[in-house]
Amino acid sequence: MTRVVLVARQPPRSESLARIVSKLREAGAEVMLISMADVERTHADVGAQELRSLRRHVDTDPAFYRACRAMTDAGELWEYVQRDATAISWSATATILAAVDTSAVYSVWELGRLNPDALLRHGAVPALEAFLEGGWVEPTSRAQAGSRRQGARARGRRLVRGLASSSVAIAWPLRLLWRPILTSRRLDAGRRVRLCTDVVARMFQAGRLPAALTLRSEVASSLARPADRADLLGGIAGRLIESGTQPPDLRDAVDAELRLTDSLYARGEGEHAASSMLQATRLAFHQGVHLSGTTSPLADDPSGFTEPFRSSAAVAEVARPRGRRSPAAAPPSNRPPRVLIATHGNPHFVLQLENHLAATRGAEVRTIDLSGLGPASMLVRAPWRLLSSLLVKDGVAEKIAEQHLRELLDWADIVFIDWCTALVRVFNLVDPGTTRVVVRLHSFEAFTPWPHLIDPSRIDDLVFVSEHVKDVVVAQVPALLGPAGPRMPVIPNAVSLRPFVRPKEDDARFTIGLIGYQVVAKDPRWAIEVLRRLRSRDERYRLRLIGRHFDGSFSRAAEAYAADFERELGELESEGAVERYGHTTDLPTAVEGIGVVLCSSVREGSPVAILEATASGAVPVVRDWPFFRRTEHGPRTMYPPEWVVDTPEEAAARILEVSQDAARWRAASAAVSETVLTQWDLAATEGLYDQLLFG
Amino acid sequence: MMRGGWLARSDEGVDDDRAVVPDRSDHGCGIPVSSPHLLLLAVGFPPAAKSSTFRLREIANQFAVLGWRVTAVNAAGAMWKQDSGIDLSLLDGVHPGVDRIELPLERPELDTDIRTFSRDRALDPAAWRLQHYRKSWEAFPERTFGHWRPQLIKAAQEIHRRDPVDLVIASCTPYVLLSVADHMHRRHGVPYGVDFRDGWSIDVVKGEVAFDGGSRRGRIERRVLGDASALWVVNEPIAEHYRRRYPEMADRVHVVRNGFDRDSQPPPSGPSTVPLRFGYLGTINFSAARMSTVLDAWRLARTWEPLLRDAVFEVRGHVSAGASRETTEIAQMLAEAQVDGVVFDGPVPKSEVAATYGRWDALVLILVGGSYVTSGKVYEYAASGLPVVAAHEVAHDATRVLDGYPLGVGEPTLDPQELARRFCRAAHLAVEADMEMRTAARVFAAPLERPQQMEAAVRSLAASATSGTAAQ
Repeated sequence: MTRVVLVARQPPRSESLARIVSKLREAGAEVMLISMADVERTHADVGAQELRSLRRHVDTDPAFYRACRAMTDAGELWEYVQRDATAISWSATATILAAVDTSAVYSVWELGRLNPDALLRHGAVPALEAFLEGGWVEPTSRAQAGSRRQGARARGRRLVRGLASSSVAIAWPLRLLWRPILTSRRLDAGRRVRLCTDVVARMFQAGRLPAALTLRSEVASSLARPADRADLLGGIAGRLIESGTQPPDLRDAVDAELRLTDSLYARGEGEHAASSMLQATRLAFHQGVHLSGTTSPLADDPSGFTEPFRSSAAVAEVARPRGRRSPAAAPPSNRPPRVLIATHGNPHFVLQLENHLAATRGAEVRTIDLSGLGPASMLVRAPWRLLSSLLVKDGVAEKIAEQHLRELLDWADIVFIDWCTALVRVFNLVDPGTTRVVVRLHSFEAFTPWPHLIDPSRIDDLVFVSEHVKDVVVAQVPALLGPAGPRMPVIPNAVSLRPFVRPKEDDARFTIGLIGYQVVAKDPRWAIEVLRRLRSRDERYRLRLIGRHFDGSFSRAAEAYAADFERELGELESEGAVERYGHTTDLPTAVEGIGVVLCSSVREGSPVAILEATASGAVPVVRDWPFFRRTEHGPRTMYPPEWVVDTPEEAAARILEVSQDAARWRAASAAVSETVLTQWDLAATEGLYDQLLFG
Repeated sequence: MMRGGWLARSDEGVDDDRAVVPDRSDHGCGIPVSSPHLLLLAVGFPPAAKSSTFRLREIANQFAVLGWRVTAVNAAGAMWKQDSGIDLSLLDGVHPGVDRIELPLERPELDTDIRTFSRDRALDPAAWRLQHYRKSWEAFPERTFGHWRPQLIKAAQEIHRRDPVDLVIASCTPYVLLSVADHMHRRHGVPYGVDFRDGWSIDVVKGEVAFDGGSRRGRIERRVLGDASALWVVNEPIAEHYRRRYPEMADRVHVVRNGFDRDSQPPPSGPSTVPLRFGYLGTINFSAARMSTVLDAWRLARTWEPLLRDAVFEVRGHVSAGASRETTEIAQMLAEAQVDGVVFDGPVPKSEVAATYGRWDALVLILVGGSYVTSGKVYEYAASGLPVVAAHEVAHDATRVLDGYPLGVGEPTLDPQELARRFCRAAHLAVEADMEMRTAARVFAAPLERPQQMEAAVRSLAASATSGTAAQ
């Protein structure tokens, strides 16, 4: 079969590409798609015979990751492609190689040298046209042999390292033999790092934790250069994260990397320091560590875990308060206030604010996303350019920001930036003049590096959606409390609750609602445990799962969680105890039939679904979110204390207590509905934004 | 007599581009050699399948009918294959007295064969393109076509040497053609007319001046228009812009509207039956936001109107060009809207335009810009005799063209709710409009046929050129 290989850094979404893939296949082509994006997850329905997500298969050790930071998108893609034997093998046997996006042109150009017979095209439609025109030739055996040789070499290298690491991991006497080799200063440090990374990672995975930690420490202390130490500790941590294991002492790896960052910065190598800083942030704030599990070292100890960031000279330079020449001015009284809303993420919360400001204050509101920043958006999308410019101190980032943000800042009386991401740091590059800058931090940003990297002196108000998120952020970045820091009000997410108030049947009290259970952070297995306990007492209890189904494709940890969840769900579904309601845009109807709403999450910021369901009369049972157990605030200070429980046992007891008797449940239902309508309805909360923005 | 050379005369298809222009002859159609000779600079002439193709063909044909010998200069087929495509059936409508010259003009930025790329281009296509545009701009201030200037002038000189030219018409875009007309006038004293269609110094989409008079482009435009025998533009607002900008040539500015071509008009049809088919035909040059507005309205209308429940909305035309063809955000939106009865199936060959309109029950007119834009498709839509839903600014020149159209469904709008109501009204009109109403719609459109729109301007320019020639 004639093979067409499509290469894309970021392919168009599945639906539009599917139309072209379908035509290729109808014409008899075998279609493969290779990408930096996770196409194995996002493009499973595109119709290609094979999909290859390069980031899943290419080992991104610290040195490689750092090196890629400074590359163009095109250069980085080629680095990944040439490290992936499968991608090379497909390409060597392709008749047509096509770059679907501009960043893939260089990879296809290089692959064309490996496969000199293939037609090379820029664009999926031109590839289709070339295929339909015919006249191409099948690849010669020379190209295929080349690819086989390249693949065999890669496999050979992996085999040697694999054998070595397996033997050491499994048999301790062999470990004794390897130890002097791995710690010998006479041998090449780079090789020792690579080998030790394999060995120690395998030992961790084999459950030999103390021995692994000892060997890692011994080898690390034998390495003189900060880069080698960072490569070793970061390499092991990265390998464990990728395999779905929480790396012990992740903080040490972050610390080693930031020491490298600082040494590079001290030597005047700002660009390399920026690459290293990004590797440190990748390790410290990896989604697989904090957002794909039910525990997080940062949540356990926000101050201690992030201490290396506060000790880093390079981080301090990035976050150095640049100050402003003039203080923010009060909104004008002779014309409607002008508010610029800038967002980098989910625009859902912005729409409400935008409508409110325009409707009640007559404000002129302009809303922009990254596309409204022009070339300055590149600094947000590619943080290396931003950080390297700040560390090299060449003024380039400031110049770009000044050129493209000045007009926006001059127009606005208030700039409101939703989500505390790189966008905030880019706005911070410019002295805002008398324009007031307000930033809203929701929840996930507390587990990202950006609170460490923003310039607090150019933010007037840093708004949090809850006290406990503020606790976590301030513990990490106490400088926010300093004299140059912003005011830090807490305003919960505004939500219109009245449409949820609808009558309920008595039987609804036996249906427990769980709204949103797509990710590990929602910990739906905890809800399953509550259901089990309820049903052991009364089989009338059922669980209604509302929202998109659990997605285990984000990480290995999520994949493992998904497998357990599905198994447990299957058992209860066979008893008719679980209803998968699915995704809906009509939540008021979806919650009409539930009498109790459960929040099983390990972390939340200011969740609205629980309030909406409670407004409908569902009695809330909220887990004391484990991520915030150590903070001063949390659900126990946010909600009436009787709503909050610690364990599945407590949750089941609370549900039984309020729902066994219909009259009692009705009374509780009416009371909780009244409580949320009084405290959290839009009417009660939007005044807080008026107060914040217009005094 | 056929000879090899870089200047190509094309008698057949697009690949026959290596013959030279003949010496003065009767063009094989009985037009005497003593008749005047028009050099029509017409990039987009048949068989190119471009939006301007019919207009260019009509100019050539009308001059030929007046007894002129016409030489139409176009880019060769290889370039059109990369651009808007070619359609050999378009050649059928070309008057036999028209000679076609196809030059090997290139647009390397549209090339999608990566084997031809240098390493630098492969590494950073955007930087390479910028560099290419810079070089192009040096030759003439038009980034995509400026580098054609030497080739075009050389070709015009050669044509003139072999068969002296009495009149040049530069139909822009591309604007680099102005440099050829200017050259022929200064070097050889040949009079010329400029068919600007949309105009250079006015950005018709944004509705603002594109460049000021002191700029390089401004100086060229002033000089070239200053010596032109006539300036044609497609609507009154653009004409007014030029009259204001160059008061001294106000009497030479003429509105030469586009129109519909008989080839594109479907046969008369009676009331439709469900499931209804709505259609959009044309280059998809509007924003993703506008597409989104139309699709939202379509979805809403389908929930409101039983006649639309199983209706289909067929979108046909080019989406983007070059490498990103059919993989843009709009292509994605269209693919996602399949569940709502939206079908996207690429461009329609010019020869199938009438049949395509003939399959549809109502049309959706989606346009960019405002009062300076008319578009060519509004005339085709009017000639279709079908209900038309207009999704564009109210202050748009297309509004004037459709004013009083018997099968219109209300003012243009970009409000999704209002637009949805227009879809519902169009559905009712599609099934309820009787033959009388449909005939009235076609009668309304009859004066909009292209030949009638152009005739006076062609006669006037031809007359001024021949009187000038006689005087010389």
